[in-house]
Amino acid sequence: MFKRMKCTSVEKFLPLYVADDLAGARRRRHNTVAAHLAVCGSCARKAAEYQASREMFRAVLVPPDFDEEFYAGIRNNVLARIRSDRTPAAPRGFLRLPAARLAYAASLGCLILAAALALDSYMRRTPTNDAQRQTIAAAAPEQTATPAALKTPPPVQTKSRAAQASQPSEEPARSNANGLHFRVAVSPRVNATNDTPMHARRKRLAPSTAAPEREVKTETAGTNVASNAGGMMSAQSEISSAAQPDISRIEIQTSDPNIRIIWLAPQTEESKPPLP
Amino acid sequence: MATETAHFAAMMRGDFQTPLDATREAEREQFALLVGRARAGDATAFEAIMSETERKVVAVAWRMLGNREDARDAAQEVYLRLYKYLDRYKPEQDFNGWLYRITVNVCRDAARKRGARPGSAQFAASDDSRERAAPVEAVSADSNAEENAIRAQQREWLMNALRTLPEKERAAIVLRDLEGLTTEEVARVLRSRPVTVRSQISSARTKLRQHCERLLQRREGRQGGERV
Repeated sequence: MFKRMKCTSVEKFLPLYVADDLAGARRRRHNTVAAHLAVCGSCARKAAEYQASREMFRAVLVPPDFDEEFYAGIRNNVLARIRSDRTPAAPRGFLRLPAARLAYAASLGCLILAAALALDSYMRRTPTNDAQRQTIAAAAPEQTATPAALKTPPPVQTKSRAAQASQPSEEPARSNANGLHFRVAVSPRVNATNDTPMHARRKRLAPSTAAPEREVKTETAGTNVASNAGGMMSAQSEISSAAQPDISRIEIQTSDPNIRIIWLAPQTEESKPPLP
Repeated sequence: MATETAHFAAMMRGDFQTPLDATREAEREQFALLVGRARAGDATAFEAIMSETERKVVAVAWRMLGNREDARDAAQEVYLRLYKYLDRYKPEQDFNGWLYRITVNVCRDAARKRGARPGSAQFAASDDSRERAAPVEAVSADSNAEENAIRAQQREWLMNALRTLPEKERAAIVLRDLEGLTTEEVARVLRSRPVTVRSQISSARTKLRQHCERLLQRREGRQGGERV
């Protein structure tokens, strides 16, 4: 004997009961509903209404009897389109959408850019080999002592840090024909920073009030002129004419922190600071 | 005796086939063969597939979309998609289920496009005089004009009722009640769970019953008015 169901519970199952959708695994429920309908006139009437509406729906919504010409038209159109446009199968998944393709291309571009930046950063961090780190000699200009020749002296460049590390911290003084002495001195502490990470080096090389990393001394006729060369990554020029009124020293820090170009040029009348 | 023993052994193994299963299996093999040929570039094989299935496809499209022109366009799109994705069909797959799925998807796309088109939201066959004429002609031989008119009105009413259903409920009720698929088959076509499909069907039947009730009340009211 099946447990008696309430009408409200039975009503929920009526739409499925009328089409035998409660069969199979739900056979027990089907039988319970059937037992209820046998004794409940109200629910039985509702079940009959469901059945009638379903029958009406099936009877009325019969598709029209389309003629053969209609179907032949469909076939011919499809075959004509297939012949004219033999397209390969579209890519599966999200790549079917144009926006998704664009997003995919953009993300691929970003990935390549990030990889390039990472490679660049890695190359900068890696110690260059000795051949690449060759000294761009802090060669003294070998011009004549005439003022005309001193107008465009060759650039004096510091050595790379690594190259300097393998050499004494202070090069022997050189002299040109004019009798001027140039000496490049690099503190060994700076050389030790060559293998430190890039951001640490940048921090140290940034212009600050801290102790200078690199000290470039220029001796002229026995007088030492020292200046701080703390600039980084961008060209900078510095004219130190306080101690030597006739020679201007121009330092240019290249984008490579290991290379700095120093020009020693005769000071023109215009560039001289006014006398106090 | 030997046959009975073989049947019993098959039942015990669980691979016993009913005549319906056997028919479906033969149908599946036939379509697998035709698809293989069509995939190799045989146009006649593809045409044979179309001939075999076009009535079914057009019927579903017409029930989902409600008029002849849209049904024809949808059927064409179904076969173009079928051709495009022929290489995705697996021989062990149910071809009809696959075709139903494509058809339902195409009809959904078409309904969305039509919904977005201004002035074309009406589902009912307001512009399909030819379509309305066809069944009228079919039944006019054995029924009078008044009956035909009532029938056409009922159809228009039910088409509108069908249109008010949500997309998934409409697809589920068309496949279950009009195409005669089982709940499990409908669930496979719609890529849903049988319990979800049952719920959708139950909801759709309740709504359609309410529409039918209103239709009957309206008819009774009109008849009562005519009598007065």
